[in-house]
Amino acid sequence: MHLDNLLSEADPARHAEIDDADSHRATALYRRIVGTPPSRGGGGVPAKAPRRAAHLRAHSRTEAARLRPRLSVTAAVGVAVIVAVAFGLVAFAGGSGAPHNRLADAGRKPSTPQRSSAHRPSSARSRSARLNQAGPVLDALAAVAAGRPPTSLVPGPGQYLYVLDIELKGAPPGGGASMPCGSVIRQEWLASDGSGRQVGYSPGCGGNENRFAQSWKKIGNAIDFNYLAWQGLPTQPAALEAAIVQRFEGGKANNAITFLLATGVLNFTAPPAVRSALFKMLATMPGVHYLGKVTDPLGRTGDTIALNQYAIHSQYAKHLGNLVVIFDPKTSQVLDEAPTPPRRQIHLPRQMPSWLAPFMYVKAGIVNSTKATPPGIKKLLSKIPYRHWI
Amino acid sequence: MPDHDPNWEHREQRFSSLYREHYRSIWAYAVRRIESQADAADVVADVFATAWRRLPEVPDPPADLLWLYGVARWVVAGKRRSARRMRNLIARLQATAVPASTVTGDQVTDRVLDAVARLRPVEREAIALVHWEELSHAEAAQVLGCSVNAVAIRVHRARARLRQALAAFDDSELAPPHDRNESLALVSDSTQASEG
Repeated sequence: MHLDNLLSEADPARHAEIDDADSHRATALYRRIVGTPPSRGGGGVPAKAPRRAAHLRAHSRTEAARLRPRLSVTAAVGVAVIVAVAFGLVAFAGGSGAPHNRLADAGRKPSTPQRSSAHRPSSARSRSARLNQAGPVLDALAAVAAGRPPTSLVPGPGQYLYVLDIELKGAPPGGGASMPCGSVIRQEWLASDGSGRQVGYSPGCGGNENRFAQSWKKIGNAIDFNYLAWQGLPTQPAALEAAIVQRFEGGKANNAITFLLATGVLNFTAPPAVRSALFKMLATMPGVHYLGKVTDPLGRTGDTIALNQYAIHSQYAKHLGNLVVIFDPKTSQVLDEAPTPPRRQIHLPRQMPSWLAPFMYVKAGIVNSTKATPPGIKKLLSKIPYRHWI
Repeated sequence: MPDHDPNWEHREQRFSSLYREHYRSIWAYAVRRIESQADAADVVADVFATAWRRLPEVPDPPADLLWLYGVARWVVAGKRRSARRMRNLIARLQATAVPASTVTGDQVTDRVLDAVARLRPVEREAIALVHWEELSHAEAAQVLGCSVNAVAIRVHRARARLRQALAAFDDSELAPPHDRNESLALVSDSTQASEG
């Protein structure tokens, strides 16, 4: 057995379609980022390192063309998040209450750094004794979640899940109406078999506008909307945590994965009792912090919960810093999420800072065609500062 | 206006060079870590969009590629929060119900990739950077934010685990199908001969 040969043969890049920097797809991406076609001066055609070039195969134009549409569809296949947004009929106008003295932890001593793949010891101490700094806020969210009506956004035959979201590449200062280049605003319609449609806009950095609209048939396996990850999960926080670790983390607790599941797909799809338990579970998880109330660029104010995972002290890898999720205190639903730059201690101003790149969930609902929108969507769109992109 | 701004021209020229030089490398990095081509495309887009926005921070060659790899790591990790990752999570959950015998494609590759996937994350990333991205231990250490020794240890351990996981392979499984058939035919002939 020759391990090096096996690894080389198995290199996914050898079996993938990777086109050149001069390809249509590469040029389109470049234009999308910069706003102009790539210049021929300066760098010119790259002199690729031979050892790396040897790895990469030439690829057909046909395949590049086939993949091209999917470049701009990427988010379209985001079914689960889409389900997530579901509950979201997030009323963003006016936010969720008046801003208050955010930054509960401002000026506090930084907490103990979270180690990567931190294994949480089971504790016999009382739950109240183990509440983390965000515990009181998460407990409040748990109470709200428990009182919410069960919601289902599973599309049936002939139905589509509609989602409106905005992905900002940095929030505009002061909540202005300008979108940083590279941002995307999109509407998606997704059927349970994975087929769907997407329309959207993305401002280029050169002042250009990139509009895209496409439909696609089933991609890969059909998505079983009825298979929801929360099925069978207990509603007692400690038991829920144990079940998540066992089911999704191979038996070894990893804070980052638990946090992602608890604030992501599980939180979005679970019934009220499980969602409530998820918040209570987060309330005792090490490394979870409350960063205060923040108003996002859509004017929605929510409670900001973060997981610090700054275990790596590299000039580059320290980007793996924090995971931030903003919850609506009135509905307990996720308003925004955003990984943050590498900062050991985040101090969020009341208005979302420009360095944060939020993914904003705006609206979701079940509709009967790829052209239909949920009731009230026009009124909703009219309140979005970026409505000129819609 | 960008057309008349020398700073813009300089910036665009530098980015163009960076883009042309490393576009394929970043693509390869993405497809090695992201199952979906569409998601990989999204990673490439995000990495270069980040590079464009933070161009003054991008170091000069050859460290620029390491910088891009560092950003790519962050972008890939960030995808876990994204719709695509969520969708993949569900897909993976569904996939667990699929019997292994129904898996199509190259069996050897599948088994090697499965063994790689079962490595500890730090070991998996280390051996990927060293073997697939062909970085030196020192370069990988820069990307990973650890010491060169740590990289060497992780790679050593990863290789040991892979050898153990793939020990069941024999040469016949690694041979091309044509050769395997010939081998089987020879075995059959010799069996018949001995029986005769």
